Amino acid sequence: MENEWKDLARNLSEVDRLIHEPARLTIVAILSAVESADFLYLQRETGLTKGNLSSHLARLEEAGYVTIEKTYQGKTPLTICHLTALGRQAFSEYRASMKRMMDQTN
Amino acid sequence: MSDNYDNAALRARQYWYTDGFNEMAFGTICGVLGLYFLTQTLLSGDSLLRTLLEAGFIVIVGGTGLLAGTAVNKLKQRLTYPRTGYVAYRKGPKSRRLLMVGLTAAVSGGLAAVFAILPVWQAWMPLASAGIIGAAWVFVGIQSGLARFFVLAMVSLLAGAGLAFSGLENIPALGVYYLLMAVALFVSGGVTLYRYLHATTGPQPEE
Repeated sequence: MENEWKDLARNLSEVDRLIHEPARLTIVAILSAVESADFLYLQRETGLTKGNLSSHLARLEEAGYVTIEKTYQGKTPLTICHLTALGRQAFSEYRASMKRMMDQTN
Repeated sequence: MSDNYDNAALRARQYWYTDGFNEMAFGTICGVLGLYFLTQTLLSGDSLLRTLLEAGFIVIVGGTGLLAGTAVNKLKQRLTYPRTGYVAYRKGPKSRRLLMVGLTAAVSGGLAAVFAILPVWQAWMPLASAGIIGAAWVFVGIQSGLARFFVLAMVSLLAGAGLAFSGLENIPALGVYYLLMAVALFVSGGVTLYRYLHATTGPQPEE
């Protein structure tokens, strides 16, 4: 029993903390389901404020999980976010880690 | 854990149908098909126009489809994306896309062959069309989780069955079927657009 809890604690410590944060987890989950999405779509789906969303996206971009491209559609400015291959891999590994932990606790 | 991803994926799929434009686009194609078949009914067998229409069937339907698709993209760019955001969808594997094209060609070709070889079965053309289109709506309903597509499937099947037993000949019955579907799709798409516009605010400027 004690070993099981030690395994659980070790698995939890190995979880990607960058993705584990609830707001960033939602952002990454959304981006993993699509090719790309703009800032407005992410803001509506996550319910975050503009400042909060910008901050989380900056963290993800810094880690190389997300690319952010500022472009125009006609005259309308557009900020397009795209999950990188590294980001997809990190999310996939995060999901696998969490599944292992859930299976351990069941 | 699967809730985050599965929910995000489902909502992304639903977002493609959020404004009703796709239904209205398909409604336009159905409307053109309906008018095509009814026009065939009105024209005499040796009419040049009838011959031209028969020869140009693929161009007429394909051209309408292309125009409708272009219109959907333009309308989304002007209305939907500035209002609620832009999403680019991941393309499925090439093999799946080829399979879908192959399946569509096989079903269409198979039905055309059956009706050509067994003219007596042509009376069931409205029901066959209704079945195929109804199945497509069921598929879209399952993929998107949106109940209105199951309603459209039921409308399709009821219309097809009703017309198959109505005593109308196959071509005018097909014309009526596609016009009925056009009406149903415009109603569904129109209501969806109305609800979308009322639930959302105007274009949001980016900071």
